[in-house]
Parts: sequence; C-alpha cells; structure tokens
Amino acid sequence: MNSGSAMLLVVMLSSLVPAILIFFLREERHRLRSVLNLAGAVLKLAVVGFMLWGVFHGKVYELTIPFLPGLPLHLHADALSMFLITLSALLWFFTTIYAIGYLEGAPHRSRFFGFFSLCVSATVGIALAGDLLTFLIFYELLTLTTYPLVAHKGTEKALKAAKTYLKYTMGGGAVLLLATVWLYQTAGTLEFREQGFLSAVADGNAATLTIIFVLFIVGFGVKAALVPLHGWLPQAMVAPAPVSALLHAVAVVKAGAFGIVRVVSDVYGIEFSAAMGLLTPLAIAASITIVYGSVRALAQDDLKRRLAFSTVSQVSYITLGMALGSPLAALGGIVHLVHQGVMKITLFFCAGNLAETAGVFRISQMNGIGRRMPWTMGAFTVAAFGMIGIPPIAGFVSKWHLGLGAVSAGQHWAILILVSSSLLNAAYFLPILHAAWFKKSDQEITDRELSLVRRDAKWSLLTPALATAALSILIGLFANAETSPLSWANLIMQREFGL
Amino acid sequence: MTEILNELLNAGGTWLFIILAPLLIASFAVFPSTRKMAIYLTPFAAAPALLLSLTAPVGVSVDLPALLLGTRLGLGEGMQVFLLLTAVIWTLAGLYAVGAMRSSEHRLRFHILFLITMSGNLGVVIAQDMATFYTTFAVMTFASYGLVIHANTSYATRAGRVYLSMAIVGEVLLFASMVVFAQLTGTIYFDEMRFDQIPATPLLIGSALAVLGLGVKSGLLGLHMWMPLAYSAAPTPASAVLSGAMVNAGLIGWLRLLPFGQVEWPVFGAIVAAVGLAGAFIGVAFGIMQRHPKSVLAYSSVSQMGLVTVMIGLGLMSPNALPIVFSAIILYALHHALVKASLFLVEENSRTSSGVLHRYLMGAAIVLLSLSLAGAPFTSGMVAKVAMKSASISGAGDWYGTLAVLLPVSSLGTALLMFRFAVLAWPAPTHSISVSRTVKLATVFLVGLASTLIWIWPAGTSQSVANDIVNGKSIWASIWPVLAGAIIGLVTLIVTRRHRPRRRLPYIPPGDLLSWTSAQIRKVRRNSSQLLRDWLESCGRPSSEVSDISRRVEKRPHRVFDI
Repeated sequence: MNSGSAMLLVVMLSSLVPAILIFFLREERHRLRSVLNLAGAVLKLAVVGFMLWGVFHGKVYELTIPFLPGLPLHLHADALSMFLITLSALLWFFTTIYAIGYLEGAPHRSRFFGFFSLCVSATVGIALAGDLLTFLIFYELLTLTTYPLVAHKGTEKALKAAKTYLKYTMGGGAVLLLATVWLYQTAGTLEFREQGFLSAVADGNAATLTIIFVLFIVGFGVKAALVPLHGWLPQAMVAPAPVSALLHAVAVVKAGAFGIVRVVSDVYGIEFSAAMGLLTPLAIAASITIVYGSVRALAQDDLKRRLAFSTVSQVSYITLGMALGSPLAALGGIVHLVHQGVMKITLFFCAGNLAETAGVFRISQMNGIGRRMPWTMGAFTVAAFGMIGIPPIAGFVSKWHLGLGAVSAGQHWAILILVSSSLLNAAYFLPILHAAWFKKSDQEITDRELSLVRRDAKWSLLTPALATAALSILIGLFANAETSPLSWANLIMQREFGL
Repeated sequence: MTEILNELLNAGGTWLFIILAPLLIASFAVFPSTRKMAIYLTPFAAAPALLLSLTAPVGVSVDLPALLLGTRLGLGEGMQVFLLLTAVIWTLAGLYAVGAMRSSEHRLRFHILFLITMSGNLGVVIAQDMATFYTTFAVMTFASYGLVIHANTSYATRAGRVYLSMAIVGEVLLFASMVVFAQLTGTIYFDEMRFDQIPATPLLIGSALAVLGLGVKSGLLGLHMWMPLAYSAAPTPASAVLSGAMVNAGLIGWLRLLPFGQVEWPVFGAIVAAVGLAGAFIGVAFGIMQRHPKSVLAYSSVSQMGLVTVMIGLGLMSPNALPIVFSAIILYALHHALVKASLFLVEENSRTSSGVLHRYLMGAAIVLLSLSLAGAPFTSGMVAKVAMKSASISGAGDWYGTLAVLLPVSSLGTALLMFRFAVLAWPAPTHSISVSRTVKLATVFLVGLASTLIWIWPAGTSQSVANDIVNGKSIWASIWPVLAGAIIGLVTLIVTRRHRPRRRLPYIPPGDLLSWTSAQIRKVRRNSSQLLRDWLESCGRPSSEVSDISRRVEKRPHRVFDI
C-alpha cells in the first residue's frame, strides 16, 4: 500500500472510527464524544487539504479492496471526487460543532452522533467511488445510515417521515441496482472514465442504453428530488436541524445529484449522451423540477418546509447544468454542487437557531425577529440573497455559468427557466427578510426586555451559521481566485472534456 | 508628486476603496461605541469618489483578477461626469440626512442602508465589467428598498413592494441580457466588447433585454410606475439620491452595454426613441394631475428620462451621430440629476420653513430650479437642451423634423409641470420646526451647484454650447416655451380661483397604471387561489394612504393658491 491509498483510507476512517467508538460510549460521556467527533473532522479536513494539493498537481490516489469475484471495491480520487469530499469535510466540521450545541441535553446523543458520522463516511465513499458498483454500495449505506437520523426524534411524525424516506430511497436503490447490472451485462465494465466509456459499445445498443439511462435517472432522481420523485424530502424536514442541514447540503440530496453527474459525464459522457438525445428530456425534467419546487415553496408557512421545497428546486440546477450539453453549463452545474451546499446549510442552521432560541418555526412568527437575532438573520439574509442569485454571493456564479452555457448550447429557453426561478426565489425569500427586518414584532418587546433575554443564539449555533454565510460570500466574491470552487470546477471540466 | 498620484491611480486598491469606503463606515454601526460615527461620517463616505473623479484621467482602468469573474474598475468614456455627479449628490444628501433623520425612529438603520446603497451606486459608475456592474447594481437596488420603506406607513410599504417587484424584474432581465452579451462577445469587459462578428438577431434580443431591464431604473415608460410611489414615500435624502444619482444607473448601463457605434438599427432605435418621446409627454400629463409635490417631481423625472431615452434611440439609429449624442446625454443627465435632487431638498425645506427669509429663499430656489428644468435662458437646462437639439440635428434625418417640433413642445410641457410643482410646493408659514444646520447647508450647496456646475465643468463640452447660446436664436427658442407655460399656468390658476366651488384638475394616483390594474386585479382576485391573491394584492392595492397623503397636502395651512 502506497501513501496515496493510505490517504484514502484515512479519509474514510476519520469519520468511520469515531462513529464506531461513539456507539460504544455511554450516553453521558459528552466531552469525549465531542472530542472524538471534532478530532475526526479536523483530521479529515487536513487530509483532504493535502489531497487537494496532490490532485491539483496531477497525483492519482487509488485503492482497491477485494469484494466480489472480479468486482473489487474501487476507490479513486479524481478532481470531481475531491470537490464533493472537500464540501462534505468542511460542512461536516461545521455541522458537528452545530450539532453539539443543538443537542445539548437531548437524549440518545450517542446514537445520533454515531449515525451522523457513519452518514459522512458513506458520503465520502460515494465521492471516492471509482466505479458504479462501489458507488451503489455506499449509496445504499447512506440510505441506511440516514434513516435513524430522520427518525431520531421518535415522534409519530418523525417515524412516518423516516418510513416514507426509506420507501422512496429503497425503491430508487432497487432501480439503480437493476440499471447497474444491466449496464455491466451490456458494457462489461462499470469503471468511471473521463468522457464516459459507453460510446465504444453504442453500436446496436442504442435502445438498451437509453432505457438504462432512464433507469439511472429515475434511481438517482429519488435522492436528487427530481419531480415527481421528491415526495420524501419535504416530509424529512421533521429531522433535527443539523440533520436537515447535512441532508440538504451535502449528504443525501447531493448524493443523488452527484450520481447524475457521474452517470452523465463519466459513464455515458456528456457528448455521447447529447448525441443520443438523452439530455434534452433530462433538461426538461430538471426545469420542471426547478419551477415546481419554487412554486410549492411559495405556499409554505413552515420555514423548514419552505427551505425543503427550495432544495428541490435548487439541486436541479446541477442536473440542468449537466443536461444542457455544453461545457460552460456543466461547469455551472458542478460548481453549484458546492455553492448550493454552502448556502443551503446556512439557511438550515439559521432555521434551527430560530427554532431553538426563539421558538420560531413558522414564517408568520418571524415579524421583527431581525431585531432580536441580528446575527442569525444576517446570515440568513446572505444565504437567501445567494439563493436568488444576487451577487456577490455564490449562487450568482452558478447561475451566470448556467446562463452562459445555455446560450452557447443554443438552448436559450433555459435562460427563461433561470430567470423565472430567480423571480420565484425572490418571491419566497424576500417576504421573509422583509418580515424579519422591517415589520414590527408581534410581541411588544422593549429594548430593556430585549437586553434581558438572550438576544441571539448561543455561540455554538451561531458560529457555524456565520462561518458558512461568510464562506458563501467569499466563494462568490473571489470566484475567480485560484483556490475558489469555480477554479476547481474549471479544472474538473478541463479534465472531463479533455480541453 | 505626480508619480505618486499616478501610482495611486493605477492601484486596484484605490479604486476598490471608492466602493469600500461607505461599507467601512457602515460597519462602524456594529459596535455600540462607534455607532454614532456611522451616522456622522456618512457625508464623507463618497469623498474618495469625489477626489478621484476630479483627478483621474479618463480611460484609466485597473484589474482585480481574483474578484468575482475578474473585476475591472476605472473610468470609462464619459464616466467622469457621472462619478463626480454621483459623489456630489451622495455627499450632500448624506449631509442632509445627518440633520433630517435625526429624530427618526430607525435613524441608524437608515444610515446603514444609505451607505450600502451609496457603495453600490458608486460601484455602478466605476465598474468596467459585467459581473461587477451587476453586483453593485444589485447591492444598490436591494439596499435602497430599506430607504423607500423607511417611514413604515402602509403607503411606504406598498411603494417599497412595487419598487422591489419591478426592480427584481429589471434585475433578471439585465441578467439575461448580460449572459447573452457575454456569450456572444466572449468577454465580460465593456471596453473589449466587439459586435461586428455577431449575428443580428441574438444581438437585438440582448439589446432589447438590456433596454427593458435597465429601463426600470431609468423610468422607461411602462416600467416607471414605481417612481412616483417610491420618490414620494422615501425620506427626502433618499428621494434626492434616488432621483439624482440612482436614476442614472440605468442610463450608465445602457451606455456601457448597448452596441453603440457598431450597429445601425433604424427600426429598433426608432422604437426606443418613440417610447422615450411618449414618456416625455405622458410624464408631463400624469404629473400635472398629481397632488403631492414629490409625485409631480417623480413624473417630471419620467418625462426628463424620456428625453434621454430619445437620445439613446438616436444613438442606436445612426452610429455617425454618436459623439454628439453622447455628449448631449451626459450634459442632460448632469443637469437633470443636480436640479432634480435639489428640488427634492428644497421641497422639504419649504414645508418646514420657519422664518420669512428662509421662505423667500426657498421660494426663489423653487423658481430658479423650475426655470432651469424647463430650460429657461442661462440655466443649466438651456445648455442641456441646446446640446440635445444639436444632437437631434445630426441624428437620423426623418427624426429631425419631428424632434424640432416636439422638443420645444416638451419644454412647454415641462414648464407647465414645474408651474404645477411650484404651486403645490410654495412655501407657506408653518409652525416653527427647527431645521438643522446641516440640512440648510446641504440644500444651499446643492442648489448652488445645480445652477453653476454645468457652466464650469466639464470644460470642453459646454464651450461649443456656449457659442451657440451667444447668438440670439437659442435664447428666443428657450424663452418662448417657458413663457407660454407660465402664462397658461397663470391663466388656469386665475380661472380656477374664480369658480367656486373650485374646479379641480382630474386626479391620477401615483403609480398610474398600477391603480388601473388594481381594479382588474380585484376582479381576478375573486376567483383566484389564495397564493396568487396575496401576491397581487401586495403589489396592486391602492392603499388608503394614497388618499391620506393627498389629503395632507390639501390641508396645508394658509395655502396661497391651488389649481
């Protein structure tokens, strides 16, 4: 085993080992648990940072573990994997801090943090998977490890939501398994390759490959919340805030979107799938999802539900970018993987802060809340503006490249989708901001009383929200810097398109 | 010494500082101990911009490659005037705000948003690439929402909602047009955009999107409805910057984005010019029917920006006329911005006048500024109008005849409109309100600049105009519309005073089309879903406050006359 594969192992184990240890910890060993969690998160960040440097300079990290005869588990860190891993490592770190503060005094914390870390390990596996089989295994592991998190509160509603989640995702998983097996039959390999590997076996298999493509999209579409497969996501928001945050930003939803990216770019290849006419229907499905999610979000009064529908809409930007068939659009889609994650996690952190600190769950309760919790609402405002696509926040950079891609691919209609999505995003985010900052609070609170109650959320809840909000400004404001997600996405595209 | 200066001008940080200075001052508000500084330093936030506009040569630009998509800042052609203008108006409006907002409930919030808006506005002027332009434009738009709704009345809230809804539509249209332009030209830098190799249709679509998207800000007819609402709802310093500085942001965008000089679009240019011309007249017509002096001023802006739009149309029609059209646009924008911003300050001052002298002064200022806007001899308005006339001569042939007739008629309209304004805003003795010294200072300064600046700066441009003025023809051409307007106004005034009960002018509520649509909306509302209902209601409902405001205006004590 060389140092490269050791690196991969460390990245995997840095969340897996704490997970296992935490399961054996007694409930009241809070400090040790926190230390384990944070140590894992910091270690992972450090290793990921090192690997980023390596991948940038063309180093290849690979690891093969014997699994099925002739089909080993294959881990492989390319530029695209590093993108998702960096996002997950960074946001896991922030979410861990957040979760420690959020669950202070709550029961079943060992269970929670155990599964939480397992869930991160599964995400890392998904990112590193070098072939479809490995991908699928970690994808299913993710399903299993997030189930207890969604059900964590143990209320009837939570159990029901978790059950719905399981039904949807298991169904999707079964479809994926079918597609994978069929593909293996047809192509004889499952290994991801830049620019895809199916164009070689295209002759005479067009119909089969089309059906398999549809199966893949349906399978991944469940987690990526493509309409009409999105039903589980708004329900799953009963989960505790840190879970929702991770679910919407990094883990589950992103896994689905990442799967679509992998299949389109590394299995079929963007050019090949465009030539087969597979992308236009996908673009239409993504567009419908983008508009539908936003329209549904408008009508929600429950803050987390509104955010959930917003996720439905925003994640499909990634799919849309892949489906427009031009490098620029794909760049916009891929960079949105990170951008959406950072912005959405901020929104969920803030929603959690509002619920925990002020008991605010509904938008109709948010009048004047900016006065009581200026920092939380400041972070919320930044992320909401980013979602609308207002510069200098990250969302603009994604939208800009999606727009450029749409024009360069000659698909001008997609601009209309982007524009209407921006309008709808504004329509469901701006009233929240207006209520929070400019409306008078329903309870008459004087300044004196205000100074007596704790004003904003406690630091362990506030710091992660502020950090991710600041990050969403920085990655947008310095989009052209060499270390920005945009530059990294550029690197991915260069390698993907062989430019 | 000059070396140091040059080095400074070529440093990215210097240019960035123009944008950052207001933000820096706004950030003082975070700490309780420095909170007051955020308020009292407001007038100094535009000082770097002011300095740079006076020292930097045209054409300087610096790159900040890591920022956004590769930021480029600097002074493009003609932007020097805009930078100076924007900085001056923000400085004086800031000075005004320090005194005028002192008893406001959310004083600090006002100043923070004022500073952020300022930062965006200054950025718009010095941005040399699309992403920076769009960013600063958006910052300006969204922060100014808080200025518009500051009063927190239902009238202000409605005004804000209308403003924001229309502004967002403008933003997304602008986004679409920029994406099209960036992809077609392969660059985001304004000075590198070349249009000769580009297929006509997409270019036309991109340009149309830009005209519409930016048209929201410059009050293009049909997209102007927010203006009367926002201008009259906002606190006076905010109205001044909205009407003086921000109104030009859309215009600047047009000048940067549209493919002037590289295309010849007789039809599209004519459409733009026609819409502008219609705006010039409809603005006057609707404005006369207003009952709040600030709404009158807002409609006057619609009308004046309509004239500027005509020039934009001329520029798109004939590339040859470009230099002279450009200088006309810049002169006109300079004149209109300074005069209009001054008018807003004077309007409030005349309402709060306590002393006789103060009243006379304000009355004189109203007359002077109104004359200027109508283009009376030896005012900045005359300079601007002469420039516009010579631009229309060199513009497309067919249009010259039309404009030669219609421009003086529009001056007549403006004269009438300003007569109406003067009547509504005429200082009347009120119970004494102490007016802060900064308020007086800012008002006097701005009125002074409005009446003098165009003669001394920009030096070269007004020279040719001054020559034109010396021969008597221009003088007569600029006198008769004003005289005619004044006579018609006076006659109307006397006639209506004779007939009691007074005959009143028909009334159109501010936001004209919106009020009409609100009736339609009410019909739709009955059978539409809750969702749609809430949204439409928030934009279209004629609020009871509309009539509140007009009632308040009518009840002003000891009115001298009323039309």
